[in-house]
Amino acid sequence: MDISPDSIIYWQWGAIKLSATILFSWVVMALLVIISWLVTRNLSVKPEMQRWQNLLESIVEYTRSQIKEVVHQQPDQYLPFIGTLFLFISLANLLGLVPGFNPPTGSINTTAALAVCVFFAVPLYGIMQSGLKGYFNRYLQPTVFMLPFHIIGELSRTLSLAVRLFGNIMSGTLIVAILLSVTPLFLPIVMQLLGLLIGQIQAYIFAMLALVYIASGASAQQKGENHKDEENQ
Amino acid sequence: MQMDWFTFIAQVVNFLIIVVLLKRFLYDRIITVMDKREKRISERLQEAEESRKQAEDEKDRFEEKSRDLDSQRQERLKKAEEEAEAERKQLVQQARAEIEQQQAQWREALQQEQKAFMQELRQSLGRQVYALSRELLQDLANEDLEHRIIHVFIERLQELGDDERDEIMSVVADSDEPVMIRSSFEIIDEQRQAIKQALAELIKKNHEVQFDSSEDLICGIEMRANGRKLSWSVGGYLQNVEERISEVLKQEIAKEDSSSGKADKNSKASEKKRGTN
Repeated sequence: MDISPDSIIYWQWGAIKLSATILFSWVVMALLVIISWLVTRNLSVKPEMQRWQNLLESIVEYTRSQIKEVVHQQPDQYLPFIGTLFLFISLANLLGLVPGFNPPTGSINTTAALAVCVFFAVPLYGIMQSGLKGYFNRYLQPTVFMLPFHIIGELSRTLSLAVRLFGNIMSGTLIVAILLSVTPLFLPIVMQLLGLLIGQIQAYIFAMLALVYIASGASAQQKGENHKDEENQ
Repeated sequence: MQMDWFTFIAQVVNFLIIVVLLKRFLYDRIITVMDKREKRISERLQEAEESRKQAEDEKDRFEEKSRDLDSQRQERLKKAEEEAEAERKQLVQQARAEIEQQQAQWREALQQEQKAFMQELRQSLGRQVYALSRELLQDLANEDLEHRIIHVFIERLQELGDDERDEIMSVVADSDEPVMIRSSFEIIDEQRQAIKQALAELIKKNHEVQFDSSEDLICGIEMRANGRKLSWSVGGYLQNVEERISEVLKQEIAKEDSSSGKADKNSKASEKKRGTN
């Protein structure tokens, strides 16, 4: 039994294949961009505004405040990356409620891609913050012998990110599928609700973990590690 | 679950695209708008604060101005009151002075009138006494009286003080003119001799003497020598009487003035002047 969106393929030409993962990712992306574009087309500076603008402003402002709480610095440089992570995952999981929609986050390819993006974002932000030399020096702290462990830590947390999101979302979809076959009437709805909750929590966790990794890479704080441990439990 | 590299890379690309798109369409715009709004709000607040401060300043200024006005008004009121008081005092003083002046004028007029009346009275009294006495004495005059008059005149000559005698002596000695003896009646030779003798005794030398008679000397006799005159006559007494009467009347007027109290300086001065007359 395999209900990964990767297995649904609409079109294929050699190695290039248009799977449900990519298609529904595009749907999510299109929705995000269209809503953003429509709402931000005519923004109001006055206190009186459209409710959509209000919603987006709330989301953006809340994200900023969350980022600020973690990194204790100007949040705007992290906002596009972290905010997009959250919005993309959140909307994808939310749309999982729609019949016929396969959330792209249920594919290991998607989650791995996001984790890899975080993997590269950490050194990028670190270098932006403290320079090339300053960033890579941290791998040699406190001694040179710590270098392999640092590298292992980087890789393992990337892997954990990818697998955690994939597992949660795929399991949610899988549970619904199994329950549909066992008790087809009411229980799946409850599980759908649970899946909705789990999906949002996972979106939040993924974004926050990415932020913590980036922040720890950028400011050499060990505080981020504690956060990671907490979130893992 | 299997890794499909194409899907993996496509998802990475997709994610990067959506990051760029959202940054462009969502975050930047929203943040710009929010910043603008924040700026505007803070500007508004600042403006409000500024206008509040301005209003407060204005209020302070107005309060100060109103205080100033109040104090000015008080000052002016006080000044006006003082001026009115001064004006009132001046007016009262002026009125008082006018009244006093009028009083003085009135009093002076009264006094003038009184004085004129007294003067007239005095003159008329004197004249009456004089006329009466003259008539009386003319009626009474006879030889005995004439004799007596000459006797008194001779006595007088004899009783003259040393100074007077020396004076008469020097006057008579210096002039060649005769000594004039005038009388209201004809002097008989015997009496003439007696007078000549008395005179000779007085001036220790014989000097020519002329005798004359005149009605002017009422019942009297006088001696003239080189401007000097020695006389005895009822006319003189009568003149004396007139003077005394006027003197007494003057004293009476003075008494009345002083008893009436506030006679002003002018009236006093005129009174004094009158007293010395």
